[in-house]
Amino acid sequence: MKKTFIAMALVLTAAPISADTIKIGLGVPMTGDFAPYAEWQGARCMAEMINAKGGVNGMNIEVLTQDSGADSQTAISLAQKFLDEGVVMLGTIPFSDTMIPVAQVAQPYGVSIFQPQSTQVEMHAGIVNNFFTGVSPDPFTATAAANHALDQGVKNVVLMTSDEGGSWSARTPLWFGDVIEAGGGRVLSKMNFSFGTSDWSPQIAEMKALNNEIDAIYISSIMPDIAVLIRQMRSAGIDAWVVGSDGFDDPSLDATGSDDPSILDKVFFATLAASHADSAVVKFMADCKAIGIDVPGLFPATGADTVMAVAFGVKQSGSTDPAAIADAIRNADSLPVLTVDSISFKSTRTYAQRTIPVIGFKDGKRVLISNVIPDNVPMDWK
Amino acid sequence: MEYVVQQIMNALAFGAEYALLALGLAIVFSIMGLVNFAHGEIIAVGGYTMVAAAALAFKNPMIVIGAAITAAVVASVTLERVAFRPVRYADPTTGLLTAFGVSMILQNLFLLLVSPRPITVTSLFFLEWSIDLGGVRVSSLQLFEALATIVVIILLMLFLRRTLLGLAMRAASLDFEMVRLSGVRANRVFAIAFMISGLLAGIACVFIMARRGSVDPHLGFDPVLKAFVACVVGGFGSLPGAVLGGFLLGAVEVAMLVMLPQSLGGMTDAFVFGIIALLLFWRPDGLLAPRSEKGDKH
Repeated sequence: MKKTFIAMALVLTAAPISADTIKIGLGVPMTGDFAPYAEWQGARCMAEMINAKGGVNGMNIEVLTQDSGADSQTAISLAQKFLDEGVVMLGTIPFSDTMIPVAQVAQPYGVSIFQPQSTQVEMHAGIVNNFFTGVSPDPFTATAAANHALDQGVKNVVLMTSDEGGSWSARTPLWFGDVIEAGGGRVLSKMNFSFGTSDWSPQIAEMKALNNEIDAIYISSIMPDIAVLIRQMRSAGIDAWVVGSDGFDDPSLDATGSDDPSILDKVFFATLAASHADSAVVKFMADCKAIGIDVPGLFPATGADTVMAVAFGVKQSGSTDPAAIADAIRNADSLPVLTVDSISFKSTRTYAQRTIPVIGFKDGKRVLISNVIPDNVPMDWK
Repeated sequence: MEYVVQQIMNALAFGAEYALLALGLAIVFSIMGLVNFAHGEIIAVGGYTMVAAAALAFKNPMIVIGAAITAAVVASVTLERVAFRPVRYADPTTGLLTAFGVSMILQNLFLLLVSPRPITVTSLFFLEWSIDLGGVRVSSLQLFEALATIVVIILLMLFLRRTLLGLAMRAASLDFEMVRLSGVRANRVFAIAFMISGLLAGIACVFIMARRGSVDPHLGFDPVLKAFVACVVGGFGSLPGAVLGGFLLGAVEVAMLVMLPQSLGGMTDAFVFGIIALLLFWRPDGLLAPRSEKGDKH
């Protein structure tokens, strides 16, 4: 009797996975500098929508969310907590110095990470393989932007680099420059910058001292720094294109042109997903608002991709085993998500092969310029 | 040549902003011995007030500026009354920790009650245009900020040297107990110090917002860290030291930014702080540290 009781107790404590819910654990920055980029609101909203339609294979999706700030150790601790609660997929900060240790913690459980925004190439160096990035790495966005710049007749470019954002801010401009040079253009200069810059005068003085006609500058940075750069360049009489990456993709950039829309006329960026007026992302945000969930922008909306990928994995595998779900996701020819029609990991294994939208502005409003998978991407990062 | 003059102007502009912020820290420290790290959040209060004023359809930018400066002054005086007065006579470490605590609480309040995202305010964009000064193009905002800093320094010096309250504040920085024994009300001296500090934060907020065009919960934190460094370089507690430290820091930052090769771009801050460390080796108490006299409290 006593042995039976102990055995039952062991079974109960060793089986935290609830059969009627599919749990996804998001230890993400809900406060701090990176809070605007966390995906938890979109994930919760998509889970609500799927649950309202009956869930997946009769099971509801539950998104467990807790604030990690921008701290790797907190993110690791939260990952362990979520694993103990039986999650089938984890989400965390989109930086390799956090994603790699979290993936290592999750590996013995057969659980993977789905990070819908991570573009850093460091993740794909082969240190861990139990993760998915729902977007393509930075060389793809740099190439998409460079191709459009070449189409605009851009020849002479200035690259702004910073080591503070890893390869995202240090190497993405260089990949842009590689494609420009391969297309017959020239890199006039490379300049340094820091995040948090509110006065770009030293760099602007350097640009003016080049005495060349600068056609475009490329920078992979964050708001509001980018808006300050655009305004100060225009104020200094530099009319070059300002080209960038997904860091431009924030509503506060659009608001910069609220008084004078022409300030955004020569600005474009390649980003994670299309979020112009008619896009699926904007419609999703409106639908979420209607059910009382505020999803403030593209980055928070990307959480919907995480939930849709898990739902797909559960449905395809017919199982809630984390390893089976990951296999189903990795081997799918086409996986439907919110931010783009579909993605696939079949040939890439760890990052999503998907189209790269290039967004520009017309009369202060976003317009989708192109949305293709570039075929001339530099591959020196693999 | 034009390029060099341009970069010197940029260094002066950087320095003017750091000097303005450093003065705000130094005036409180000189009297109370408190490093007020919540000074950055006072700036953020000004920024959010601009958002509110602009949203309330105050199209007149003077109203937006006035509201921001007023809010910064009120917030600064309120913090003195609520948070810093209870620890006025405590160990300086207690004051430092209180300032950090206040800073964190305010940042989190902005995060939770307003938004973690930058909120754009375009009301002050009109302050920035390009001016040709003998072949050198400078930003109007840089000129305004440099002029404002000079005016603030002159007015502050006049206040401290020509008014009774100013005299009391200078005396309080040397021996506060003696000032109290002379019949000066301690609360008034502290409140005025925080009021001036808030005013300086409000003025700095106007220029930061005119340049950045948006406010977020961390708007003032990084600039205040720079101002702290400027105070250390100049000599903590010395108002002229704070100004000198600010301009020196601005000059070193711009010099490193434009002189370091691109391959060493990630080392900019390391070089800036390396140079500052060398300065402190030479003058450990800062360049213009107040001289200690017999009878001074330590």
